[in-house]
Amino acid sequence: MRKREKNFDVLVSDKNSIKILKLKGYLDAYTSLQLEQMFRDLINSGNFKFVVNMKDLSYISSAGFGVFMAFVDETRKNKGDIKFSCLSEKIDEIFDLLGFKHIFEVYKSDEEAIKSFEKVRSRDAKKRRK
Amino acid sequence: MKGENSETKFLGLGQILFASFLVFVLLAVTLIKKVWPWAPFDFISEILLVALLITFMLIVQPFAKKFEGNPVEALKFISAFLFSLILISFVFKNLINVTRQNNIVVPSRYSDVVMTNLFSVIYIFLVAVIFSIFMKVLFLGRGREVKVKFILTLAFFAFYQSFTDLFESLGKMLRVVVFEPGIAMIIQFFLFMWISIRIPWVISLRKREKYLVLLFSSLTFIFVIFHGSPLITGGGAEALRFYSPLFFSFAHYYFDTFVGVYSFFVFISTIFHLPTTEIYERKVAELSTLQNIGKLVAQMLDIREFSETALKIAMEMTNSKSALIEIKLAENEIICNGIGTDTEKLKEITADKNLDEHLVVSFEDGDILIAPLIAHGKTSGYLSLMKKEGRFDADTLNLALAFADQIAIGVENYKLVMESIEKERLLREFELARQIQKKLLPAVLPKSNKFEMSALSSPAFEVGGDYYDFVIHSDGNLSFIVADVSGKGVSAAFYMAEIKGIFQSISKIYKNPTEFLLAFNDAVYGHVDKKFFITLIYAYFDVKNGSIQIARAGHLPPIFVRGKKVEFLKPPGPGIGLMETKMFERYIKPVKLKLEKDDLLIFYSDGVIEAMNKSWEEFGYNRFADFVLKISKEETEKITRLIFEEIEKYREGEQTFADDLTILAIKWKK
Repeated sequence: MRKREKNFDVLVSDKNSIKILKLKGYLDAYTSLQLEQMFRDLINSGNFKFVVNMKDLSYISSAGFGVFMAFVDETRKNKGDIKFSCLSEKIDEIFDLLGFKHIFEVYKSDEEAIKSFEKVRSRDAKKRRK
Repeated sequence: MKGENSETKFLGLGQILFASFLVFVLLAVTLIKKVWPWAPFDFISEILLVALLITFMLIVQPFAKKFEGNPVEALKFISAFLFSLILISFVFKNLINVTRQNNIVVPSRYSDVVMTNLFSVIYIFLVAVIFSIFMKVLFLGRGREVKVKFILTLAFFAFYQSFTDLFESLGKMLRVVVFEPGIAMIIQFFLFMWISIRIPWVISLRKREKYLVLLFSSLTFIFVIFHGSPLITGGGAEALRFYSPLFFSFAHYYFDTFVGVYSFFVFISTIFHLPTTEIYERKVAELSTLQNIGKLVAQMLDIREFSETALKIAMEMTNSKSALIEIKLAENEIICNGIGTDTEKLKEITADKNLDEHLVVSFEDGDILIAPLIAHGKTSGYLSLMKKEGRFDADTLNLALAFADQIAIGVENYKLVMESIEKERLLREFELARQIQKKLLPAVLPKSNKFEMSALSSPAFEVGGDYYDFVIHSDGNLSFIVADVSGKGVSAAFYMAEIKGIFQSISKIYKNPTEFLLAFNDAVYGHVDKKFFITLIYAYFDVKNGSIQIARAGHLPPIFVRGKKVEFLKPPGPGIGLMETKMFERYIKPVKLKLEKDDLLIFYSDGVIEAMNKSWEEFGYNRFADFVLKISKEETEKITRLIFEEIEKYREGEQTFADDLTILAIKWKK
């Protein structure tokens, strides 16, 4: 039981060129290295739009937050972003305490997060048409 | 040593003198026998002869010893001496004239008697030499069993010889054949076969040696047959019989038969073992490879030497002309080593190959084998071998592949050893970081009659990021900080040191919490790794007025107890280092409290709230608040201790993932 929860896993799926990362388990100073590598690989292969689903994330340490901090500037520079969805009550509380909501957009569901990306895109498209 | 040496010399001299004496006595006896053939003389000469033969054998022992453990040389000398024996017999055959006298053959003249003596002595000496060498071969690689059998054959011969006459006369008396000499011969023959059936030294011979043994054993066999033939020996044999009937029997019935049977068995056995020679040689090679691998293991700590030894062994094993080894230790660390003239070619062929299995590349007159070094499913490099004027047969290929596996395991072990050395080094660094961290925390806290202040910090398993500190301003007021650095390990310790520097310097300039946080954020944001940030509580404690201003930057909300009321203070404020100061400024709103008597404030790190029990539940805010309320009447010293003990109790001894834990309590007493 304990062992399984201490594990950390990421499920990556794709929707309209947006990477949806479903985090699962325990994101601490050690497992965050794994997530960091994953972000690094995805960004290196040209992905800049991310939705991080935290529904099944049972714990996140400051080092875990550090991963998102490390990449957010880079994604935004490339017209992308890191957005969060489905925060549990506990993690939502930590987001609040840390002031993370001032930096990141948080949505109730993946769909909303994806939609918010599309809005940005249509706005950009309109701009271009003008 | 010297004494022993002279003693053996003396013994040898004594033996020679004794042998000469016996030879002369025998000469005298035969001369007398010629004139006066009286039976007891025969008996005397037989005893003298046995003594002579034994003496001769003792004399040649040092020479025979040279053939101990060297059957090929021994057989060579046996056949050579047998040949000279035949030669001498052939020469003397025409020199000795014999006549028949009352059914007994005797030398014709006195000169013939002398010749007979001369011939016999040489003959006996040669037999002694051959038989001594022969015994060395016979006993080689065998235990007591062969000695027992040997004594049995000798005993049977002695028994038969001693009683032949008796049996003969007995048979004549009873007119029946009591003991047919032919039967005795057959028994003797079977005894020799029985003793010769096992020849252990043949198996371990190399191919060339086996061919030599085949040659010498067949020569020996042929010479023995010749030796028994009257055509060759004729008169010589008759003379020998005159000289000593016993020795004649020994030479022809015992010695010849024995050596003949044995050499025949050696021949057959060698032929049988010829096909297995290569298998045996391979086994020997494998064994020596094993020893070499042992040597490899000893060179575990020097990967260059290791690769070189591996190459040499691989070449020796497979009889290759050139060899190349590539060992990938890390992404950018490849060890490449080659032996032979064609390493460049091997390099070319091996380059850009990504093999999971071995590959044999053939060209006009040779083969190149590329074997990946695979251990635990990971390829750690390649071993390439090049054979010129020859190809890799299945056995060699398997041997090479097995050896490649050995190398791979060796490489894997080397990596593990290096890793553990690295780990050991890191552990020491961790310990150092922990020491530094400990020293960064204040050794004593300010004391006053207006307030109580206590702190407790228990580091995590490794190096944590918890930090607390204070500054006493010139007016007696206090600034203090409780902070947590993101991440763990050595880097956290260094960031902590940085925080201490920032805190100690700017808190003296910016007492106001907002100003302090802005300055702090300025110092951190953009100056350190992006993924690194700090959560902290900063408090400015006006001791004179009994008021406190608290600013929170992402940190856990401090707990505030007044009377029966407990509250988490959550003044807004994001963590330090998350955003630009301009943006950061917008979100910070410190809180100011006017303190009353017995008001209790507790600052803490996430180790308190996130402490977990075995069923994976966090200690949480509610449990914490309830507990603090329960003990709020105690002194701060006791409060911090009780909280710590409560957390420990809650964890139920679960230490593995224990976070670091910091508790700082302040109680207003005025």
